Amino acid sequence: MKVSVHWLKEFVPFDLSPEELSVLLRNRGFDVASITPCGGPVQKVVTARVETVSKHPNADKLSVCSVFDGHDTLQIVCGAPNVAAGQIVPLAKIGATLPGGLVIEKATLRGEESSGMLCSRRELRMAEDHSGILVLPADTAVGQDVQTLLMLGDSVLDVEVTPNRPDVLSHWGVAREIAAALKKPLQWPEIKISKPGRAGPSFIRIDAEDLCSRYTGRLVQNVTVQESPLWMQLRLLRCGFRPINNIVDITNYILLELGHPLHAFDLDVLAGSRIVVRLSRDGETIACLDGATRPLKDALVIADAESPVALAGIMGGEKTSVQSGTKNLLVESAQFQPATVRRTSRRLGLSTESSYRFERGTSFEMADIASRRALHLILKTAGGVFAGEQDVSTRKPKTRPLHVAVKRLQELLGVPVSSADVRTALKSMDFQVKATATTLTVIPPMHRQDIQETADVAEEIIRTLGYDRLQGRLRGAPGRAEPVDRRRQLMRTGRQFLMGAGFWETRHAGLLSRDSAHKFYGETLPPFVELENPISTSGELLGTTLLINLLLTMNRNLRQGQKDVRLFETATVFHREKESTGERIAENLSLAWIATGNYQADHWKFRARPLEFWDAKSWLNGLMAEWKVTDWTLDSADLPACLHPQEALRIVAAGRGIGFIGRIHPHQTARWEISPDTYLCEIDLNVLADRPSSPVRYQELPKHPAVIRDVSLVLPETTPWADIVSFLKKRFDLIEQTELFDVFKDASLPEKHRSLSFRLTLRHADKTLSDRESSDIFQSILDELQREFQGQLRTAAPK
Amino acid sequence: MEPLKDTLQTLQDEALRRIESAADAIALESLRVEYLGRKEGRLTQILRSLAQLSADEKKAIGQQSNQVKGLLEEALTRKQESIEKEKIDLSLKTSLDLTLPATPWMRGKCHPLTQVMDDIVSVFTRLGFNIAEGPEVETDFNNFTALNHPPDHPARDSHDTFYVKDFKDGANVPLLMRTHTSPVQVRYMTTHKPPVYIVSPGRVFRHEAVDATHSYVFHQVEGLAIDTDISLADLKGVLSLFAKSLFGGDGGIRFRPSYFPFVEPGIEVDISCTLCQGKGCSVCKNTGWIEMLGAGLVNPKVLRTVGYDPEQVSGYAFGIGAERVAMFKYGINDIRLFYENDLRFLKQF
Repeated sequence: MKVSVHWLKEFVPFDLSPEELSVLLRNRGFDVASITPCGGPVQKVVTARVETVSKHPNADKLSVCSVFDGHDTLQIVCGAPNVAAGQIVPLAKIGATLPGGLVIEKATLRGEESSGMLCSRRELRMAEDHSGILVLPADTAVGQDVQTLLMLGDSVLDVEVTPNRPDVLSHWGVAREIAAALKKPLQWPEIKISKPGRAGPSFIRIDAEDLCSRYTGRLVQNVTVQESPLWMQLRLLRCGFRPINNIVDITNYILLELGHPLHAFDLDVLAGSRIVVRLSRDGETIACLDGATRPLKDALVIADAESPVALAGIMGGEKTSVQSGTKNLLVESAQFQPATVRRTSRRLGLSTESSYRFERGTSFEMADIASRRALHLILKTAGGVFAGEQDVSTRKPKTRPLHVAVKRLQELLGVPVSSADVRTALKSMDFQVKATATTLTVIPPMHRQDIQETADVAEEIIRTLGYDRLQGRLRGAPGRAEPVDRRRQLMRTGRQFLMGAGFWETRHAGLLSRDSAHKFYGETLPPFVELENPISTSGELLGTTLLINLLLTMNRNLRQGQKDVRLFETATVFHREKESTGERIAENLSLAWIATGNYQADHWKFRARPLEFWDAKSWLNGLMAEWKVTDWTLDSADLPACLHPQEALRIVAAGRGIGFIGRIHPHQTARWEISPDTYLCEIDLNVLADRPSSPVRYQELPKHPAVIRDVSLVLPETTPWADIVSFLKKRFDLIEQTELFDVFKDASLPEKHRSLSFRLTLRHADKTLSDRESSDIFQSILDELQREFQGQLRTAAPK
Repeated sequence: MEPLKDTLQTLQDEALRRIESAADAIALESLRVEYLGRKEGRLTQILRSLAQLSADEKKAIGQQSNQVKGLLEEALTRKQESIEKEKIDLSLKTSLDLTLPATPWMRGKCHPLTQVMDDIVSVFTRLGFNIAEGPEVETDFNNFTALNHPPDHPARDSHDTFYVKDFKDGANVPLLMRTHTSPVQVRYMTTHKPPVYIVSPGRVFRHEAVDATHSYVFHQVEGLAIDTDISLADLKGVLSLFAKSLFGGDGGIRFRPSYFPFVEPGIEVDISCTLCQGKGCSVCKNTGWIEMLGAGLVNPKVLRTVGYDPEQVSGYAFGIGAERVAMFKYGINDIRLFYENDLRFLKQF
């Protein structure tokens, strides 16, 4: 909200620079976003009338003017293209000082004498405009001091008022804060109106009683609608309002001055010359002042005898607006329920200075004061006769005394506060305070509807005393320490492992476009949770997987010239889950990674090696080891379409799939513009987190030596290595370890066969195996392997 | 007899001389074989010929030849050692260009926002706070109403909200993407009795157009403490520790009155600018202070909503934006960088 310092000083005298004033306001809870100077200061600049203009004899672009300043007629040489006889303009006389310290002296310009300078907006530092001299309204008296007339030297502060303080949304409200801070009295603006001529018939009816607590209407006859006085226009402009005509300008002026929105109707266009405050009826519309016609639905409206003429508290209608020919007025000042104004404003997407104030809350008292102040200004500047008034209220606000214990205030604020401190602070803000032995009875002023209990009073106290009094106190938290959440533990240890393996953590918003979801899932999408109001189509779905954003990020990094890229993310994914009563949103914590390029980067000494599936598998093993998850397996069921059909596996734990690992499907690589040597993995951490973690049990270190034997077995290619390992594990409990060290294929082997070479470690827990015993066991291992897998021994060299 | 003794002496002299001048380990080995070889060694052969001598002669020559053998072995060992030492000494003179690049290592790091959030969270967990988390899709009640943002309240204006299609809460109000992590407070308080000391890190969403200083997704760490004797002094204490821990310096902070519906008094917290030690610079716009977070005492309305008695307990709450902290701490001027995940960016932290 823009406030003029000059205007504030009408209500409270103070001598602070705009910067000091913004510090004062900030310390009371109102940030000042900007300070804009409004021209000046100037001295010896006066209003003057241009009497004659003639061309300069020696210069094309200059004019020689005679100008009357109220005393003398002076010759002035002027370069402005817009100068014309009859204009009232600012004249900087000899000896005048302009902003920036420029002093005007008598000069001769190309042979013509000039006794001063006519000023543009820029020369008065009012604006950047330098296209011509500033032309003042024709009725401006000559010889006036321009500094005073144009209120130069003023500054406009952009004050941020929080939603709890609608009482500060005006110059009056800001002045009240300043007065409280400086302990100075406030001066009400002038209101001098007599009673209306005669008590007329009733013309206001409130049908929607819950939504309108007060409606005052004042009638003025025979006004002259014209331009507002210069000072009013200047103030409106400074606060961001466009001057329209004196009546509309006065309603806006009062909104800025007292914070209460008003509306003026052309009484002669108001059907039945009456006002009905009611809800809109089905099918009604209203043509608003901004030219748009809006359909109404359960909106609070001001209607005349026929149809809505204003959106209550938001905007007036076109039909009854005050125009240049308007003679008779009805001036509305009302109090509407904040919620109804807000609902209609939001539904119509129409927010105005008026709705902004009504939805935050206006003052019951101010409704009448503002109306009377408007009448004062109308009668003063537009003439006319005060012809009637009606003030209807459905309920009056009650004062609510609060009982506040000073001790409780101290406990909350953590600073010593005396009863006297509290009284002084509250009284500075127009609170009534009555003290008893231990408690204070506090009656907040009517405009402070936000003060409802002790905490609110506490804020007023500390705001007045200042936070500088507050000393910090640091104590431990005697809470109930809880064990670390398993999900966080999995996330943290997972991150640590992946970082050690060269992965960089990424973070995404987690929203997806339909397009990228199709790229990943194909024609048919899984059920997504969707946003009702996405910002754009690039984020309309809540992610079911982290991989899509990782693929996009991978692509972006490759385009930047990165080569060996490893990325991961831990974040929430969203699924629609069927329930007996319908559907619910399941939020699962997911961990995903993506890797491409070389296992080890290129180096002058060691050859680089591209990533292979075995690297991906090793990271998965590492993660599971890091998490101390032991009972998990891999299979090839239900592989997602994004993965290579031959180089991907499903991760299974607790009897269900918890994720996938594998190479990207060749069809996907072009779509995402990434390399075919890209490997992906995603794991649902919720399943792992929900299972009891298996405790670590120490195993005795082996006391007896191991016996090591190598085996090379020729087998059909289709025999999985894992089958051999699990067979051995099941059949021979003396086998401590089975390590594959060679997989070999060539023409010497039968077709579709391969040779697997592996090393067996045999160990007995309680004794040293003799040569004889180990040879016997080894022989039976070989026999059984050959029988079970129809294998052929290639060599069997005991070591 | 005499000639044999002389022969041994000659052999010894000759062998010692040759050992001493052996060029390398190979030459030394062939000398060992030549003299001491088990089959053809010259000393071995001499010893073998002792069989023809008398017992006394055997004894005398035997003694002498054992002495010779001992001497030769000792000389061989000594020479061996000296050759090896020379070899090592020589190898130490071979120079290597140690400025050549090291073997590449690959180690990733956490996202800067994770680092910052972990840092913030650890300040409070060290004090005994628990970590509490909650869902990102929330009810209107938890996100707004319970936090004293009733429906049609203008304070909701500062929380432009994403709504979720098809899903509603028990009161038939659409679900939404949480606009702050404060609903976690509501969830925690409705399921736990005081004392409560929690921090809630997490991802939040606002329906905002994206530019250098705005993002529709960001991260918060919120804190909440409810106990029988909590005051603003406690809030100032922990936030000062936060400022000191995250930014160094003296932990100077400044409170200013402000408004957030779920706290009363509501406070805007500035931290002393650590770039200029509070003297004033372009980053703090010459004020010496940086606006950092919002905080306050928990509004009694909120306490009553979750079933606490504001006469018996009081509390403070604060909300720290992880992006804001990271941007100030690292001098980042565009919030979008956090979500682009460009490795050239990520690798700087």
